[in-house]
Order: sequence, then structure tokens, then C-alpha cells
Amino acid sequence: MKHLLKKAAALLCTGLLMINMSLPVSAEEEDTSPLLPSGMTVTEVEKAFDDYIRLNTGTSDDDFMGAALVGIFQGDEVLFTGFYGETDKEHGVKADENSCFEWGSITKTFIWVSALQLYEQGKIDLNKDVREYLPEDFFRHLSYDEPITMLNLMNHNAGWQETVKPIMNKDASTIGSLRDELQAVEPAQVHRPGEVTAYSNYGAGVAGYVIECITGESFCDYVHEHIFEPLGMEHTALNPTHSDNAFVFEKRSQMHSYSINSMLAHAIDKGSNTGYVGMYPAGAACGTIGDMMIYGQALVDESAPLFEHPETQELLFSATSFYGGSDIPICCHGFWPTECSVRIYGHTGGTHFGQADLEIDPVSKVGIAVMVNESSGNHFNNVTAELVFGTLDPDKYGATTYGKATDIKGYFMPARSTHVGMTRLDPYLFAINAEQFGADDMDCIGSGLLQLTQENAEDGTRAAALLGEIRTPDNKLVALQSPSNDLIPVKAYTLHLALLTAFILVGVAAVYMMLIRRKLRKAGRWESYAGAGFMTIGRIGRLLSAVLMVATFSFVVSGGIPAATGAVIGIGQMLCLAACGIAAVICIVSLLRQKEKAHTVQYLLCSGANVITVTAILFFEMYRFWNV
Amino acid sequence: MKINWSLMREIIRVDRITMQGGKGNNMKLILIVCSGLFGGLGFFVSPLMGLYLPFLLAGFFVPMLFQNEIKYHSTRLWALLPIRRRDLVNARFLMVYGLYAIVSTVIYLLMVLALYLRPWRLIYTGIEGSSEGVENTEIVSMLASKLGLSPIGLFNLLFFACTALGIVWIATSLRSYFRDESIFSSALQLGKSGKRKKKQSGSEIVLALIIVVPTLLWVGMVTEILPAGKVAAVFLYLGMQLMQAADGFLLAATFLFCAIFHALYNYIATVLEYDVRDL
Repeated sequence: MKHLLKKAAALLCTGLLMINMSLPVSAEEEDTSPLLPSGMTVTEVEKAFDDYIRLNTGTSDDDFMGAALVGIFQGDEVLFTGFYGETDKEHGVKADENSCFEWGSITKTFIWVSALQLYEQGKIDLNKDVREYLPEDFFRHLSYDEPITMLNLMNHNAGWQETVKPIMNKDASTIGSLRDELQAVEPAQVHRPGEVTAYSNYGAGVAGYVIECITGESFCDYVHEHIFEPLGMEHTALNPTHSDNAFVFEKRSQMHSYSINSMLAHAIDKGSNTGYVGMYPAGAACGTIGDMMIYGQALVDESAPLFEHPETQELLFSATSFYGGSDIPICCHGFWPTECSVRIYGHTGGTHFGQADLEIDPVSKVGIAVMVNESSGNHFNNVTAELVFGTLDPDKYGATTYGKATDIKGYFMPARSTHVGMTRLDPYLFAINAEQFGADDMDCIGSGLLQLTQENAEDGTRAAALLGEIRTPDNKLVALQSPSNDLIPVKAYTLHLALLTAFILVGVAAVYMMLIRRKLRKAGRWESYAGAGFMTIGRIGRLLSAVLMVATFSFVVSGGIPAATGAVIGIGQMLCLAACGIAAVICIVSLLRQKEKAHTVQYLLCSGANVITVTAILFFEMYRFWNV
Repeated sequence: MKINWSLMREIIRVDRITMQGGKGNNMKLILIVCSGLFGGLGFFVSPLMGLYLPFLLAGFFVPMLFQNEIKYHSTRLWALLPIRRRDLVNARFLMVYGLYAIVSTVIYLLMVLALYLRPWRLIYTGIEGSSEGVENTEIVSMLASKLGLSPIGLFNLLFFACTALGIVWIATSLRSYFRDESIFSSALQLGKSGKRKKKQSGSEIVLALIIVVPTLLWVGMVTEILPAGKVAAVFLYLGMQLMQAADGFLLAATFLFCAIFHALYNYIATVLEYDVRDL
């Protein structure tokens, strides 16, 4: 009996043990990774990254073709680092923690941090005209007497248009001092300081030079001494050739960048380097993902290791400009706030060789750093920020609306463009209709704030984006505000475009008219008449002007118009202007003087065509190569 | 240059009589089949297919309209009549382009009607697994929105582009015809020996250039052999903006402008060449 009881007890215990042992196998594994502001955990986000890379690796323009680095941190803890793809496809070199990618415009944040460092030392007044820190006559052709302050440079509203001359040097030996590089490309000031936000690499470069002038040392040396070394960023370079860090110099020379040729379904290897940024504070930094995260961690560290006082770091992330008349910031001392499920602060970067993004949430101390080696397409860095920080709930600011923005109509051109000089026609080629960016679907949510809400058709989730409006006291729209680049309404856009079209068409017509004249001469049917010679000169002028316009734009697409080339084109356009103007006058005089009215149609058409060319050259300033 | 309009009318009347005479008007059959096929497809399946008709018909116009003249070698008759050669050229350009304008307008109106009535729904309804032919308007709408146009704007733009190409083709064909009508004999298979003439017509060369050159340029740019991308960029961006402004009408006007000037040049060249031609 006892033996039987012992056996039964043993069986029971074994059974219980087996049941207990099987429980952990059948129960769900708990995801204990940290929760991010988006509501997703790090594990979920990691999986989402993997899925994105896997699903979007392909050959269309938006696909991922090269390499990507991503890091998520919270405070001083690194939550996740991911390395995807290859930095050199030909040799199968995989992306890793030693890969050095270009930071692009994230470099500008070094300027803003440096400026705040000097501010807390009392060495700079952010509201003072920067000309007081710069050498005399540094600026050679400002249009407005209003002071340009460091805050204007941080907000990118000093009023400069986009640079016309190239800012990339193909040859390292041609890189001059920061001052020389800046003065070589100084663009025209087309807006009053503080009026319109137009992202300006030149303005940031000037800010970097201000740091040099105040500290007496090169901006590169200053940043190494006051940012890289205190934080232990040992794998980041800053000068145009990256020669200030041997590790980065070597690694960067091994890193290839890629773009997509979707037609042929393959990646184009753009090589390891094809240019140097002369005004390097605006965007020459290069380094590892680890260093970028160290930098980001310092910016969320409450002890503010970059500054003497934590209050200075708080000031760094305080607003310097706002959406419309609201209290929602659009710029914070050079850092761009983005409204997601939380408000994040950061900067994106883009060069011909890659894209990068650094975003932080000072409240949760979560941050993300992303780098890819594709210059366009590839929305990986957009996706990552959304996964980590979520999207803006339309009801956060837009719970109450005052109806749709019904008076935002017509065409808008980006403030970040060229508005004077021979490239004045450029923004006309990129103007967008208000309907295209959903203006008629925007909600007015008060105080000059607009909200565009989009609903995901698949899951019904809604996300919003903010815009602001700048209006005159009599409610006339001056600009639509978007982070870093306002949109300016264009009056009579269709008319201007028609003028540009007519300019090109009369050039085409000139070719045919010259061919017809040649045909008539060969057939012996050509009868010379008063003004015919000048009409031919006018035709040559029209054709040449159209060709020079095409050449101008080709240089713009290539990265900028060198000074000498601009002068040649400008003088050529002036000669065409003179030729067409004289031809038009001669045609009109001949028309009035002719006795038999036999050539009335020719005179009228020719004078009309020449007038169109003269008008287009003058309106689009195709001749102007100076002070641009 | 004074134009004798009554003489124009007479020449056109003679041409119409010549066109209608004779047996075996095979070009007419081809024209009808082509029109029926593409027009029918355009009306009942997709208006976008019907847009190609003006371009296709332009190739048939000249050989079709003058095939009897070619067949019976009656071009030399005009040398005997008391008319200026220039008047003959004027009349024929006027007639051909007048007919082309009428045909193009009819095609346009039919396709616009099809766009609004969507008769393809009658075909798709009842076919298992299909929707109500929505895919046609969806494709047009999707394409239009990508290009920043309304569907009717895209439709107009494509139509005027094809019409402009047709104007260019007709001008080149007419010039070739007046230069040497026998080059069309091979196309019409009217040669007695049955051998095709080796001499290429100007229109064939121009057509080949229109197709081959842009294709080569495109291939060159895509494969990055040619550095033409940056130069082409200005035309691309300008074209895109023209496409979007005024819902495509500016770009359409541009195409037509270029085509008209090309036709004008060919007209003047034809007058000069035909004047000295030994008939």
C-alpha cells in the first residue's frame, strides 16, 4: 500500500512538474524593450525597420539601394543600432559602426551650439548686427539697411536668395579660406531681414565665419575644441576635405554613394567623392553613427555638457520664430521643431552623396540618428522618425477649426530660390499650384495657423502637418510658412509663364524664318527690302538669347554658374537685347515708312517677336550677372 | 502674295473629282479600317487610344488623297493648264489641312463624348471579375494627377500633341509629293514591275528621325552615355510647368506653334521647288 502511494505521489509530482515546465513554452514572450514616444517599443520599431528595408529594396526611385545606419538612444543609453546594406557594393563592404557618412546640413547645428556657447560667455549678442563682428565691407551688395542678427541667420530669414554660383569645389586644391569662399558666392539680398524664411547655406556659412571672427580661430578648430573633444566624438571630421580626422578621411574615401537608375533597374555607383563644400560650416561634417548619437545624447542631457549652464541648453530649444501669430515654434535657434505625437527638435542633412537626420525629444530624452548614402529618393530617414516619434494628432491643435482656407489660391514659389539675376526664371519652373499642396483642404485653426490633415485609406488613421500664414494688416497673404522655406504667392504666374514660352517660341520661329530666307535666296526669289538685314540680326539675337537661356539653366542644374561663365552669358544676353531692340525699332519705322504695304505682315511679326524677346530678357533679368 | 480664292476652289473641286474616281481605292479602305478600329477602340474602350488617330491618319492623307493622280500619272496635266504652280500648291495645302482639321475635330469631339459617356461600361458590365470599366478613368485620373493636370487637361494635351505631329507629317509628305510623287507608288504598290522604289521619301526620313533621334537621346541619357541630361532638363522642367499651367493648354499651344512653323517652312519650300520642277 505504501509502495503504491509513493508511486502515485511520484507520478503526480512528475505530472505537475511537466505541466509547470510546459507553461513557459506555451505562454507569449513579453516585449520588455523600452516604449518610444510613438507608442511602439524598440523591438517593434526594429522589426519595422527590417520590414521596410526588406520590402523597399529594389530599383524604383523611392527604393533603398545603398546603405543605411540608424541609432535610437534614450538619455545616455543606446537602445538600438542598425546597419543595413553595403557601403561599397562592388567589394561587398557592409555598413557597420565604423562607416563614415556625410552629415550634410546637420553640420549647421554645430554653428548654433557654438553661437550659444559664445552667448553664455557674453562674447556675442544674438540680437546685434553681425556686421559688428565681421570685417568691414564683408558684405558687398546688401539691399537693405536693416541689421542682420545671429537670430536672423539661425532662422534663415536674413533675406538672401539661393546662391547662383557653385558652392561645391571639384578640386580640393581650389578651396580657399572660409572668408574667400563666402565672398565668392555672396548672393543678392532679396527680402527684408526677418520678413521671409528662405533656407540659406550662405547665411549659415556667414554665421560660422562670425564664430571665427569672435574666437580668432578657425571654425573647424573651435568645434573640435569645444564640441568634439568634450563629448569624445573621435570619429567626426568637419573641414571640407575631412583631413582634420585621419580615421574619417580614410573611411570616407572608401564609402561609395548610390542613386537609382529606375529605367535600367540598377544602382548607379557615384563613387566615393566628387566635391568639397567650401563654406564648410554649412554642411561638410562627416562621421560615424556612434558620434552622431553621442552628439544627440549631449543635447538631451540635463547636465548640458556642451554649455556652462543647463539654462543655455534650454534656451537653445526655445522658439525664435513661430507659425503665424501662434505660440507654436517653427524654428528654435537653428533647430527645426517637428510636431509629431511629441514635439521633437532636430535637423536633416542632404548632400550629393547622402542624407541624414538627427531628431531628439528633450522631454523623454529619446533621439534618433539616421544616415543613408543615397542623395535622393529613399525615404528611410523619413520613415524612421515617424516610427520612433509618431505623427501629429489632428486634434492636438486642430480640435477647433474656423473652416477651410478658401483664399489660398494661385501659384506659389519657394522662397529658397533665385529671385533676381539671370536665374530669375528658375522659380517659375518650380512654382506649384495651391491645389497641388492641398491648400483648399487646409483647416484654419486660428492665429495664422493652418493644418493639413491626411487620412490613411487602409487603416483610417489620421495625421496632420502644420503651416503658417504671414499676412499684412489688411489681410493680404505675404507668405505661407513651412519649416525652413516659406512659399511666396506669385502674381500673374500664367502670364509670366506665357512670356517665357513665347520667348522660346520666337527663338524657334527665328530658326524657321532664317531657313525660309535661305531657301528663297537659293531659289533666287529673295527680294531685299528696307530693314530686312536688321530683321535677320533680330532673328539671330532671338535664337542666341534662347540658347543662352538654356545654357544658364543647364549650369543651374549642374550646381551653379561660375562667375566667368555668368559674365559671358550676361554680356551675350545684353548683345541680344540690343540686337532685338534695334531690330524692333527698325521694323516699326520701316512699317510706318513703307509705301506699298507689301511687307506689313513681316514687319509686324518681326517687331512683335523682337518685343517679346526684349521684354523677356528685361523681365527675367537674363543679362544680370552681377550682384546675384 | 495675292491668293485667287475662286481658282483655289476650282482646283480643290478637280482634286475631289479625281480622288473619287478609279477602281480599287485601296487607301480608302485602309483609312476606313484604321479609323474604325482606332476610333471604335477609342470610343468604346479608351479615349486615350483614339487620340493617336490624328497622328496615324496624317500618314495616310497624302497618299490616300492623291492615289488616283499617281496611278494615272495625271500630275503632268497640271503643267498644261493655265494655272500657276504656286496656286496648285496653295490649293492642296489648303485642302489637305482643311480636311485634317475637320477630321481631327470630329475625332476630338467623339473622344470627349466617350470620356463623359464612358460607353465601355456597357462592355465591361456582365464580364465576371471586372469592375464597371472604372480602370479607364482611373488610369487617366492617376496619370493626370501625377502630371498636375485634370483628366480633360491630359486628354487635350495628348490630343494636341498628336495633332501637331500630324501637321508636321502632312507638311513633309506634301513636300515630298510635289517633289516626286512616284515615291508614294511603292507605298500604294502601283509600280508596274512590282518592284519597290528604293528612293526614300522625305516623309519617311523625317518620320524615322522623329522616332529614332528622341529614342537614341533617351537611351543615351538613361544609360548616361550622353551628357545631354542637363541640357534636356530645362526643356523637361519648362515642359512640366507648361503642362500644369492653364491645364495643359500652354504646352499644347507650344506644340501647335512649332508644328505650324514647320508646316509654313515646308509650304514655302514646296512652292519654290515645285515652281522649278521639270514635269
